[in-house]
Amino acid sequence: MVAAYVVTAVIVVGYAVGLWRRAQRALRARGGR
Amino acid sequence: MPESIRLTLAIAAKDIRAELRSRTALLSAVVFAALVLVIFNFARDPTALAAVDLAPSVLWVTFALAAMVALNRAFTIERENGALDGLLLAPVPRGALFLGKLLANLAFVGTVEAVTLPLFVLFFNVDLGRALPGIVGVTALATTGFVAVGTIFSAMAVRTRFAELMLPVLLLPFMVPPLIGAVQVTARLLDGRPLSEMLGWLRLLALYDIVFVTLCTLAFAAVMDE
Amino acid sequence: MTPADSARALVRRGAAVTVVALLALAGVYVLALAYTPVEARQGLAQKIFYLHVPAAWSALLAFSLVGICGGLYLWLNDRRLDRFAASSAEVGVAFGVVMLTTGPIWAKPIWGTWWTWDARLTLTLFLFFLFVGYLALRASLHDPSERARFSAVVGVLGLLLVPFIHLSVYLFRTLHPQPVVLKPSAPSLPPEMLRTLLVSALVFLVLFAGLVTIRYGLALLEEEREGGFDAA
Repeated sequence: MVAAYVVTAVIVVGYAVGLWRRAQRALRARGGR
Repeated sequence: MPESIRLTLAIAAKDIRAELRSRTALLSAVVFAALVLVIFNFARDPTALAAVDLAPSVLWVTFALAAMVALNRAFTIERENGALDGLLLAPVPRGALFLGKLLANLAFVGTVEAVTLPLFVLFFNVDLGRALPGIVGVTALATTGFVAVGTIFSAMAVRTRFAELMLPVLLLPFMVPPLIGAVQVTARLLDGRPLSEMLGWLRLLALYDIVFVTLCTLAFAAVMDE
Repeated sequence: MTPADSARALVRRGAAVTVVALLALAGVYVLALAYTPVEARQGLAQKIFYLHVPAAWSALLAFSLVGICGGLYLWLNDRRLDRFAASSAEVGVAFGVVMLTTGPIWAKPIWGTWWTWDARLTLTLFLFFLFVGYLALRASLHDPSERARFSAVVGVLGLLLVPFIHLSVYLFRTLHPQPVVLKPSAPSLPPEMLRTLLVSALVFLVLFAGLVTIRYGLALLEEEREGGFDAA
């Protein structure tokens, strides 16, 4: 049961962080402020 | 209206003639189907599982895979010939274009199925008997559904780099309801069950056909626009 | 505002919402694990329900949005609809993975098997395949207009497939009655459980909104880098 809670957290947080980093990379590549 | 029908039939005839000339797709699909049947036979333990229990599933998996091979080849040939561009320049209503291609693909897949069925009866020693008209009927019904979706998806897949992979990935979920229905009806036909036991599934198949043939006809314009 | 500015604003706003939602999710964890009664028949395993069901609802919402925006795009040709559909699809996959991992983890102690072809799990699997197909197609098409149109068609067809999958499984089940062992959700939930479920669903919804916003900003940036719909 705990496994499900852990897995969910990993997936959700992992995706959110990954998405944030992709967005930051794209913003930096775009240049500017 | 009659003009559209004439166009549809003309397009279908053109595609069928093109395929008859090259015959590559037809042959590869038939050989593939035969191969699948052979593999199923060797994979099965004859003492454990009677042929007739497995028969409907084997038949329909074979039909489904062969249809996929056929659909892929059909559009690939056309792309190679550049024939599609000529058609698009002409003021052909996209709906008629789709239905023409659908008819051609149905003729094509239908031929593969017609050749596969006797092979199946031969390899598996299944007695079709009085079930044959029913099996032909349900085959027509189910095939129409997934070939309709397959026609529009192969038109899309052909524009990607990995068309042979993209078509199955897109199409397989859509093949499931017709396949489930077809297997259920085929199993009951082979068992000699009364029609009442199949009506639910037949209605599902018919509804699927109506919904998806209509939708794909309407959506084809979006796929063909240049 | 240039697209880059809009994108930056969206990413920031989306990130803020996401952070709030993640904190709230932690709260839901506490709520579900510590402050909700343990279900009598299923025991502790039942608590997975508070994550699995909201994830499934979010995935279904995501897919519905993909289909609806696809249909609207084909009608209105507004590229914002395409961007939104793509964003919804990707976030939907994330929730779909949650749904497909928590499902079997839950099923094993309850039904004794990792998988079963009941209506709910089957539908979740198909939803996942449809998402994957949609995203795979988008990844293989490089002309923005073509990509938008084709994926819109797949989205619409996919959404219409869902009732047929449901119908097939339903017909299959009624004709092949399965031994009913334990139903995952009792027909009527005690109020505390219902409360936890709804709170969790709300948090998942906010999380979905935050993530889609970030993804939409990213889509804007990618589109701009590609040269946009007009360049092709």
